[in-house]
Amino acid sequence: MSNKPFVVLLVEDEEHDIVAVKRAWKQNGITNPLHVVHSGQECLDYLRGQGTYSAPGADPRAGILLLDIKMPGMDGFAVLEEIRRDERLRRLPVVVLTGSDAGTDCNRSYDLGANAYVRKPLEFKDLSEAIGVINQFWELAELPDFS
Amino acid sequence: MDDNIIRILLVEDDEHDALAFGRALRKAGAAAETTTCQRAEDALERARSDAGSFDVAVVDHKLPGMSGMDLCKTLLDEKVALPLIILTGNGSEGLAVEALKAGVDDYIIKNLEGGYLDLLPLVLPEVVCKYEDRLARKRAEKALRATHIELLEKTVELERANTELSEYSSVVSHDIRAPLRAIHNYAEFLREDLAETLEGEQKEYIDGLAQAVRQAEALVTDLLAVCRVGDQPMEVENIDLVSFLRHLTTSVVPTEVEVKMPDDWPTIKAPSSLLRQIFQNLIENAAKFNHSESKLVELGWRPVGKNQIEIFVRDNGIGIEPKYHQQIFGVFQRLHAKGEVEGTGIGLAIVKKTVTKLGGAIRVESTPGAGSTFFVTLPARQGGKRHEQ
Repeated sequence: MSNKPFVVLLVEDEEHDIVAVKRAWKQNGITNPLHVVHSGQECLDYLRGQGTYSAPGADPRAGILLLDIKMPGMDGFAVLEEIRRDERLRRLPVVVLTGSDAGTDCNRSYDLGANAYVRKPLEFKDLSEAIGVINQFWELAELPDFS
Repeated sequence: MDDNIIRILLVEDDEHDALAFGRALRKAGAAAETTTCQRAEDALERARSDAGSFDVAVVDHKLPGMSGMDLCKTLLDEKVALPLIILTGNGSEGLAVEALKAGVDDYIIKNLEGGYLDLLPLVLPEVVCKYEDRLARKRAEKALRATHIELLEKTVELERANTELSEYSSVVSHDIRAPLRAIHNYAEFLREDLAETLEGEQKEYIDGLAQAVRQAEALVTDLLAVCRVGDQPMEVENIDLVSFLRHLTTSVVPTEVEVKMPDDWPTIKAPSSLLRQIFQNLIENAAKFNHSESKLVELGWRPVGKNQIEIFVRDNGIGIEPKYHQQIFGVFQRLHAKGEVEGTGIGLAIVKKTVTKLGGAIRVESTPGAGSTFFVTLPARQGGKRHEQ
């Protein structure tokens, strides 16, 4: 997440978790804007420029997705499946960032094509550190071309 | 029998025999009231409508119309509540056997000399008694069976309610964690961001807030741990107690605490995770509630009966007053202020619940200042347990 002008899209429904990630973002001095969507459907709308996000060119391209699993309605797995099925969105790097501790979620995430599975640390300072590491990694890794 | 008067329904068509019958009873001083019918059909009607006013029916086989045997069979078929004695003619043992097979209670052979009449006062009360005993027993069995069924139904209901309560506790505890975590974080964020501007009491409030939340989180974690005891699998393994306990004490006991235990221990069959939960808690407590100069934790065992083992964990720690010996196994029961000893007071509740789940028992012997000994009795072989939770 370097000086490429893209947005990191956070898909999370829990307000408290959103506040925590935003704070961690600030503490790590990450320059990429963080945009939050509160549901799986809103996420897809953003990525496809549909629904509330249909004004053309209004919303900056999302370069990376931080995706929670447990959400009402479409859960993270459903979103991931949709993205990987969509010709135009298939390459989008997805980091599953979840509080879930169900053992099977990790494997399932990778099976569905997630680029990484990260368990959200409970302690805030650990979360902040994790966000920092994720940032550093994606600054190092190269991002795919994206239409 | 009502006040020892036997009420007899006599079915006899021969007047002489009927009179002799009555005389024989009077001679023997038997308290009896006899109602005589000369035909089976009349007796049948009496018995059908009024069986309760007789204690026994004495039926002569040879009757005009319906025979005594048929009368008896009909009464038995209709399950009329009356014991039956059949009077058969001389030389008719076969009939007597047939009668008994049909369900008649007894028979008397009318020998020509009339000697049979002497038997009457003996046979009658005996037959009535046996009949009444049988009735009483049947009634008792029926009541017992009903109670048994009721008990089973109540047990099923209790188990269901218990499971529901346990699931409820588990769900509630689990769901409370997220908001607790949020409060925890916000308290921390405020503390960090306002560090410069907060004054005196305000700092105390924020610190207090953070601490209270940590306490709440610890309570919830422990509550969940108690709930989980019920969920844990009961996969039984062979556990060599000497290596099991040695391994446990090494990992759990601080180095400055001395551990004493004998070298020979039996092997028992039990779920190892549950066993570990029990003894880890007890051993940790033994080391924790101990302010001695040289702390000592001792373990030992002895067999109990044919299939049980009693294992003890002894310490030379602060001890427990006898009046609290029951209380300490309660959930969140602490005997010491939070500052003195850490922990929420859940350990022994978990131990007790786990011990109970394994079909065992736990007790403590202790006095203040003289250390404590916890005795855990367990079956040496788990298996075929009714409650597979």
